[in-house]
Amino acid sequence: MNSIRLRLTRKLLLGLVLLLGAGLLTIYLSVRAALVTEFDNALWTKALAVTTGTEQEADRFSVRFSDRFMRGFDNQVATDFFEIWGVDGTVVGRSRMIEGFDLPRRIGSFDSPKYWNFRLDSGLPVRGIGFDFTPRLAPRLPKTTPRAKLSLVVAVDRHPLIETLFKLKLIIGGCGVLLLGATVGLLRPILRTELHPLERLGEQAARITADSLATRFPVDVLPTELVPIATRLNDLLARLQESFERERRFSADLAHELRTPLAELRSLAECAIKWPDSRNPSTDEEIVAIAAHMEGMVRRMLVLAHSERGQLALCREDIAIGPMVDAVWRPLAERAEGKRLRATFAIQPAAVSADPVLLRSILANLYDNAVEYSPSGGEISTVVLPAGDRISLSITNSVEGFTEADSRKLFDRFWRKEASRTGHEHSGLGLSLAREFSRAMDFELTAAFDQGRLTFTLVGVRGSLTGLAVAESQFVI
Amino acid sequence: MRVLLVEDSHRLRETLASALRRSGYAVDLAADGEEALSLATSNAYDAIVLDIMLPKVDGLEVLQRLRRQGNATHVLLLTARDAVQDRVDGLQKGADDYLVKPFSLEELLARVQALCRRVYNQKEPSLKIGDLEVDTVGRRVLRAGQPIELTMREYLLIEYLAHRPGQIVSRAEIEAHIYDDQIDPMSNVVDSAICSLRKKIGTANPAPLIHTRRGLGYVLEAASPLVATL
Repeated sequence: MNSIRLRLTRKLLLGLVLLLGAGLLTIYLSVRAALVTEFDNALWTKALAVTTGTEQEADRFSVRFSDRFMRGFDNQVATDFFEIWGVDGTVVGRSRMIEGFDLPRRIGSFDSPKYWNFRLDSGLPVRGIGFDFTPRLAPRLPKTTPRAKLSLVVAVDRHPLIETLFKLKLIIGGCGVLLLGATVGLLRPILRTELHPLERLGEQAARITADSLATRFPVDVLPTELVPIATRLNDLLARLQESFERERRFSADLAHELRTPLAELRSLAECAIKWPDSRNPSTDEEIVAIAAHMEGMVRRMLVLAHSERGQLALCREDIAIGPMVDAVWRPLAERAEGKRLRATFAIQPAAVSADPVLLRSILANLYDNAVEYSPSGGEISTVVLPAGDRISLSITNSVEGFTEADSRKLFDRFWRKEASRTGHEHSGLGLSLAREFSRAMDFELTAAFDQGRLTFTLVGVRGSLTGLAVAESQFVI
Repeated sequence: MRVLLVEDSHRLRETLASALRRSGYAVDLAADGEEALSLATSNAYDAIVLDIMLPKVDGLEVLQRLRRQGNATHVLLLTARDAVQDRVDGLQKGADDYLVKPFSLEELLARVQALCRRVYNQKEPSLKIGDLEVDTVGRRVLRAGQPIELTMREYLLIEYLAHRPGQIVSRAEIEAHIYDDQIDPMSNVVDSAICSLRKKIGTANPAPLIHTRRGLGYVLEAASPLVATL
């Protein structure tokens, strides 16, 4: 199971075990070192006592134990042992308890004695110290007597140290186990609590279907790390929702566009069959008009489909923009006058590199819409601005009842401000086609709405006026 | 029966209106939601045929406003939307029936007729008052088993009266449900039609079926209580 919580639990526990182990081991080793040092100090003191009690006499050495501190060497207690050798290796003195065997001989200097652990022949674990020393002279010997050099090994029963270290191990090990258990106990609820927002985010995301795209993740209550994820998901959902809604709207619109004329045709035909006297020449004209409307719509949709698939054949050439605008506007001028629309043109002499058929179609659509939807007495203005290797053409007209949100749907197929399709003059495909034609020519067609005025801007590749007729190139409306 | 037809497509509106009129309905027309609301709130209709995608106020909004106003007129939604959710939406908002475009004209007429029958809680297509039988499907009238030849108006009048047997039906109600708005309020078109109807249904059996309640209207019933007591 690839769960973040499980992986976090495992890794945190592993890390904790390692850290805790290292920490407890360090504590154990430090305490052990302190205890051994203390033990060694006691051993050194005992060894010093032995050296202090050792005297060089005329032909031999004597070892005297006088204070209670040396009771460990006593037979009854028998926890401390020593053995002294002369320079030639002969034993000059030893504890009674080690009669019959020797202590191992590891000798260091007086300033740097040797310490080590070993077992006596009896199996008793001991710790020993070994070093050379010079015994004091017996008081009756002259000061000039040559000083002998002896080697001493003192061994002390290690049982108390071993027991103490064992207890220390038990305490530290027990503490380690308790700490680990407590950590495991705390880690689970902490991880569950802290990972809950992530789990909730995951559950919420899993519940999202095509029918619940309006769902949004609550960003305010999420931890900082999850906010970018939730924000991006919300953005994605918004885009998906918009896309789904557009597709639904398109399907519904397409159905409506086709079903309504079909209903008209069928009703006309059935009426004529049911009541033959109801049929007259106008009925046939109506049927022809419906068929023409449907044919036009199918034709536009096919062109749109071709354009969307990039299957439009382009024939690009340099076109003087002024005459093109004039040619497109002239047939609409009468309708515009009928609505008392004021048309203004600010067109600098320039050419555009475009397919003349597609460009004419785009402009015709934009001007037709401007005349159709401008309120009576409104204004339609055209501005052409060449800039570098690009040229922009803007058509602005006043509109009523239009909103900023509407401007984002303008290029959707079948979108019309009025949801109903009263009248058949506009199919709702014109602007979709205009945008696809623009894309086919690498042009950009955008719409902007500001303070009751709708502006379409077409930006394309600037052409050359060279070779175009003078009258065309200098044309200004 | 008087029907309000609300459809924004001019061609479809005129075609359906013609079909409904030829089927004997008095038809009022509306091309947008505002007009539909105005007509529906100021007239008593037996049924409303309502398109959903309408200018100004859409059909579902019209339906909701009518229901909020307590208007219980049966509504047949007429639309190009065929998704299940669209139908559910329409029915949940108070529609009585739903028809998807393109539709069969006969089906539309049958559904409108069914809705009109429901106004009078009538489930059988045949109405019987004494020995008078009105076949609402075949649009025929029989008296004592003999068929009676009637004009469309006369048939609509007897059918309307037969839907409300024993009830007083005023001239205004008859005018509202049988005739278009064009009739002159001062004319005696209703009285003339009643007179003609009495003669025709009295041929097979002279026992009167249509009784006049002076100053109130007319009653269609097998025997007048007043006559019975005389």
